[in-house]
Amino acid sequence: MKDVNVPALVVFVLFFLLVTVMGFLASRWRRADDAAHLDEWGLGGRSFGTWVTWFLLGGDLYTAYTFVAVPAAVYATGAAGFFAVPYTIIAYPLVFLFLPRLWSVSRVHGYVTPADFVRGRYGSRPLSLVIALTGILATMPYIALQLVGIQAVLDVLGLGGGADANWFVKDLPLFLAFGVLAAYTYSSGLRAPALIAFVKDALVYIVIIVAVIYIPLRLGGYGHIFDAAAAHFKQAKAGGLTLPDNKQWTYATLGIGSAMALFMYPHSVTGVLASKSRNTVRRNMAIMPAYSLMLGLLALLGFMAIAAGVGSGVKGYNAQLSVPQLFANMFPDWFTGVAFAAIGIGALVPAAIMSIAAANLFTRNVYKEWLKPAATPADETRVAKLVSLLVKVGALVFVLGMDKQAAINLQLLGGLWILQTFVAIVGGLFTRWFHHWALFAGWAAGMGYGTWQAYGLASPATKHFGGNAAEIPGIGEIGYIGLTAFVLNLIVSVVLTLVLRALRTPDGPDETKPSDYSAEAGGDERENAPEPVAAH
Amino acid sequence: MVLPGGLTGVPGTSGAAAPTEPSGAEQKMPSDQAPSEAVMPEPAGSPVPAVTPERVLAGLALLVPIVAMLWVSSYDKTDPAVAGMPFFYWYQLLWVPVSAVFTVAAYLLINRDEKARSAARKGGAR
Repeated sequence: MKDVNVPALVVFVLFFLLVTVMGFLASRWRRADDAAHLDEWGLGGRSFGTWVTWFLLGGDLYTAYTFVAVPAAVYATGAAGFFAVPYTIIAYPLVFLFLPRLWSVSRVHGYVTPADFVRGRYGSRPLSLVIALTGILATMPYIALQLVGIQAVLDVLGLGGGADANWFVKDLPLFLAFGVLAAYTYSSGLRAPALIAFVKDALVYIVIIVAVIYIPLRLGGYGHIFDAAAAHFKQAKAGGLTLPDNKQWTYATLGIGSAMALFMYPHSVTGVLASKSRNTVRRNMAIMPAYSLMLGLLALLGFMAIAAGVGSGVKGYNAQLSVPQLFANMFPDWFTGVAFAAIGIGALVPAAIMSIAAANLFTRNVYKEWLKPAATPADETRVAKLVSLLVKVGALVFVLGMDKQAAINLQLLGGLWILQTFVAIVGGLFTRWFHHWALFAGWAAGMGYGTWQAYGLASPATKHFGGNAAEIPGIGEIGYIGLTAFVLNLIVSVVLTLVLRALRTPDGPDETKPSDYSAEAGGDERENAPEPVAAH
Repeated sequence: MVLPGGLTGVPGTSGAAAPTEPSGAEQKMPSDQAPSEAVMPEPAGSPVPAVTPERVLAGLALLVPIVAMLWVSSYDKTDPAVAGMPFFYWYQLLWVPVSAVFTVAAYLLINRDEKARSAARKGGAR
């Protein structure tokens, strides 16, 4: 067994205990009028204002895996790994266009999940089901990857044991962390991650700001860091500080494709629907970039790890460990503990929200829709709580039972899959023109094509699903498979809609009205109404 | 693609917000609306068109950062470096706050547009 970093471990455990207490107390925070309703457990009562939503979404979207994987990608490939920055820059202006509409229609009709909306809009049970299943499928490996983030930290802390430790001792800290997480998510619902997100985001900001000032001071400045990285890439004959010309398409398509996928993820939608007004959503699209800036700075840590010689000379070094190792090498022990707590708690918040989102999907769109239509709101809440436990156990088994590479592959696939729900959801927010069977076929085409293409990609680490970019048919450049599949999905949806309309195939009922898409919460309408009149 | 105003259902579907909050709107109306009622008596309340300068400008403000980031060849180079950081990196990092400014602008424009719309709707509903 490696040496355990005791001061770091103590700080780490203290923070962990703090958020555990907060998680359980959260059920008393803004206590509900009707605690049995799924809106309370699953959406925090739809009551979060601008700042709570900001912390919640920040905690939700910028996950521990992001903190580990983004700098790891930069560490391994240089410029190509930096695509996370344009991706998050593009995301907010893009979703600004349609998220307020999704919020409004969900508020009017009490939708809890994106699949609820699809059900109401197109009146199609099969389409709603596949949207829900895609969401669950894409979320599961994402939860599993949060565990990978925690494992990376525990490894560097010296826990997790060496090769000689048996599997139970090795993974005991992980069991503990997830057991606690499952318990307070069960009891407090979305309020727990919302409250813990304050601690998580505060810690992350402190750690990143300290890291991007302190580490370059110790390494001799940014100039030296980039010089060292350039020399390293040149010697390794892989990666570089800029993109080769044939990678620019990949960079751009990954950016836009990921941005489109971001708010199709069920956990993102959960964070949005939990906010209390349409303008809360819009304001957040303007202030979320504060997190993107942090992510960009974090990405630079990958170069710092190269300059600091982390993993240098180790054959097959796990890039995922590069940033935790950089922290351990550079920071005083107690601050390493703070940094690791930021990553560890950074895994718990999204894992909680993701499991809640997956549970909401199962409860609303599988259980109530197909298994027990007579379910009361109290039944729904009970089922959702149980499913949130099952989902977490599933993720744990997944990470322990399969190798980590499988989780990473599946998470890449998850992004590709979830992007295929974009046409039905975003299309539906603006128009009822698409026929639901055409959308179903488009979804199937996108899923099939994307998965098939991804299967054919090999990488040094894995034979299949080894990447996310392939040649775009008809253009000849290398681009993100998910985006190509999305275009195919869109084409199939449009063409088949034309055909089905020509054949006068009957359409499902639409329970929404045009005005639902611009509806405000009741309170806001009253407050704002007199003001513009006076201004006139 | 940006603002398919015809589908937002604002002008044509008069009294759009009324169903969600009928009583509150009714109560506020008489005293607050009196002057505007006198100014525009026509029942449709001279509806705000689907395409307004505010909406177009907001759409453009949202489009700028997206186009800037997708135009990879414009920033795929190392020079000029700032404080040792190659152009590729500081340029993209700079776009983070710049994009936020554009989004704030879009937010303010859309807010203005929606207030004008709800004013027109209320005026028309009387």
